[in-house]
Amino acid sequence: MKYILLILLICAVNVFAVENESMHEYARGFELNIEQQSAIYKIALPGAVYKTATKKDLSDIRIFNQDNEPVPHVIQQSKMKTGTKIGSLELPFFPIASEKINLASSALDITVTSEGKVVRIQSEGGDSELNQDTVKHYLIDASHINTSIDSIDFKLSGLESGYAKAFRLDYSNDLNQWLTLVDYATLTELKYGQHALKNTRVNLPHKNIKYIRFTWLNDVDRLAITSVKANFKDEYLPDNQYWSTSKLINKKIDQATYVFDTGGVFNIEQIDIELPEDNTLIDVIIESRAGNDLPWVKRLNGVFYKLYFEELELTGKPVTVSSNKDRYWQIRFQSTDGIGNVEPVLKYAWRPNYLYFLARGNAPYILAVGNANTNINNHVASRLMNVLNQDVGNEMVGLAKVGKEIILKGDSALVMQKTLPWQRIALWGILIVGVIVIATMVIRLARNMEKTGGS
Amino acid sequence: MYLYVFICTWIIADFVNYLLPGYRLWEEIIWGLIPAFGVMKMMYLRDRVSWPVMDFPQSYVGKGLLPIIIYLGVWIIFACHNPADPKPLPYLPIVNPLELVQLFSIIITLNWLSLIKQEEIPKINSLNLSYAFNLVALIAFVYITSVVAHAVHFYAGVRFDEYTMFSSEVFQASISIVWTLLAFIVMCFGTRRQFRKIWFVGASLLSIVVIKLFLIDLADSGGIARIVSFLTVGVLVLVIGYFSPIPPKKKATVT
Repeated sequence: MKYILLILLICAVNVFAVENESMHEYARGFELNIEQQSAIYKIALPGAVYKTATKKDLSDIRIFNQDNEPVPHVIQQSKMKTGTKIGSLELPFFPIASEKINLASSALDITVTSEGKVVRIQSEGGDSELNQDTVKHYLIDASHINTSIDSIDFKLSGLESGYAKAFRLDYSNDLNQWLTLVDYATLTELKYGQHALKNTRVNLPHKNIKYIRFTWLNDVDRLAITSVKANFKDEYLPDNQYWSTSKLINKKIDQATYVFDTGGVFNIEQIDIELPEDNTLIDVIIESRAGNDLPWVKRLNGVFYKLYFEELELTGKPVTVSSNKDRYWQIRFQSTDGIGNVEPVLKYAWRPNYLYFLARGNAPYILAVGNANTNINNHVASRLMNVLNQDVGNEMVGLAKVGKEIILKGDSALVMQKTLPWQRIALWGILIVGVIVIATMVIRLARNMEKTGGS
Repeated sequence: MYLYVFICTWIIADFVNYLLPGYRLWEEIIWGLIPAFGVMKMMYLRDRVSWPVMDFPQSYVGKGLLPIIIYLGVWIIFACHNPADPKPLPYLPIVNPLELVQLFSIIITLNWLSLIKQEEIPKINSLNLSYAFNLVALIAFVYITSVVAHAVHFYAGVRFDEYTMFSSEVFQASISIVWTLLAFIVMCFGTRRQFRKIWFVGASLLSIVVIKLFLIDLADSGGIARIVSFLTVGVLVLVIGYFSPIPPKKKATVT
């Protein structure tokens, strides 16, 4: 009896045992290029990884070292605003000859995108008339900055002998209403013998500003601005959100329903519908699902539009959805008369996860992805995460870059092979035996209590 | 014996964690299963192993098992706070690892108490058997309520924490129905066996349900779950009134 139990135990261990994996069980790999020596490396997962992964929780991603051994890794959800920190940023600027800067002004033709970015400014007489003497203002576009600017550095050209010029700055958020930002300031660059005095920076009050108007206070000897650089007190963090376009895979024109495939398990945060025709306004229900055989889950109900008003484009903003990794998205129009015959385009914003791995073994390391048949739990992940959170500072984490893609097993690794789920069968077996044992005990207990007379 | 049970439990829990990494419930139930199994084994050995069990029955199957039995009672109550997610298996009420082990522990405890009552195990002077049975009944009641909570958590998608569960109308309706059914079973048992005390326990539970219906469930009388619970409890109270009338008082024997 004891021997049978021992054999059963060994079989059970084999059923549950974690087998070693090889990178050749995965569909694709990416070479990881590391620059400096470190114990832990961090990479932002590229879009191709999400398109190859078969598991929503990205559990079919592994890092292998040169000896084809898997090394411990953990995938962390990236947080908002965790891009590369920068201290300053070049701002686009536009010289303007007219006295007023106003969207409604007939002397000035300003083209602004739906996000507010100035893309073109044309004066009444055309760009050919613009020179240092005719330029009255400079329009500085800071609409893409989502934090306050601490100061601005100007670079000027014109007088080599030196200059000291006074100017003022105004700001606006709509290019129509202008308010004073800096009433009086000077840009100075003077040389005398061995001495030099230079002040090309102006400090700004703490404000979120979209547009800045630069105006010289003297009409004579105006200098040309050649560069405008914004400096940030708290380092400006560019958003690491990416926009991609999904593929239309099914449409039912009579029901005004369109089905899109994002092509992967992207962590989707925002949705935008690009309308094919101008002056369109639609009310839609957006639904999603992870697989083709699952029911649609309603995500939101929203209005999208694309309208033109006196050459100004008014477009609905992208809508935020509760973060999910559903691959299939369906848009249903509330009425069938809003869109015409052309197809809408569904765009989605996603944010990459960060993968940390321990540099065990020798480089080069390969990021392998896409294995529908792996069911190994990454149980070291939570421990590694704790180490990362508590013991290891950011300075100890090296950066790795994703290099060229290599085909490992190919697309055959993405197909689920039908094998018996031994682990589940064994656990069901244990439960059924448990139920039988307990039922027997209950019957015996009831009989026993019957004998002794009840309570 | 305690050290032996503790070390066995620890080793097996660690082994299960190795076999099923990431499935914490299967590891956690070992802390109830192995001590309960230890008690069962000692009860089984009580008249089979001459030394030391038969020579020192009080130490091995009597008073000696009391600390493990108390531990099991505490474990059952604490385990009720576990969400009981049996992954990788789906959740089924009672037929899931946590609730099965809790039930196993309750039955083992009842078995031990009934063996003491039958005097097959030496009596423990400090243990009042009547109180002990009542305490086990109370633990069983908490266990049944927790089974309902787990079922509501998995089938109705209610988050498993005290506040959310208490505010859930599905949970409130479910426990109203389950407690009424329980009261019905207990009162029927009391009527059949002519045990007035047991009948009154059932009647008290039924009173609690009725008070709960008016104080808690009525607060959201518009909900479908609450309407169903009102109707079901009402029907069950009628059935109880028909099938389980109060047992008569035992007449004093005249000599």
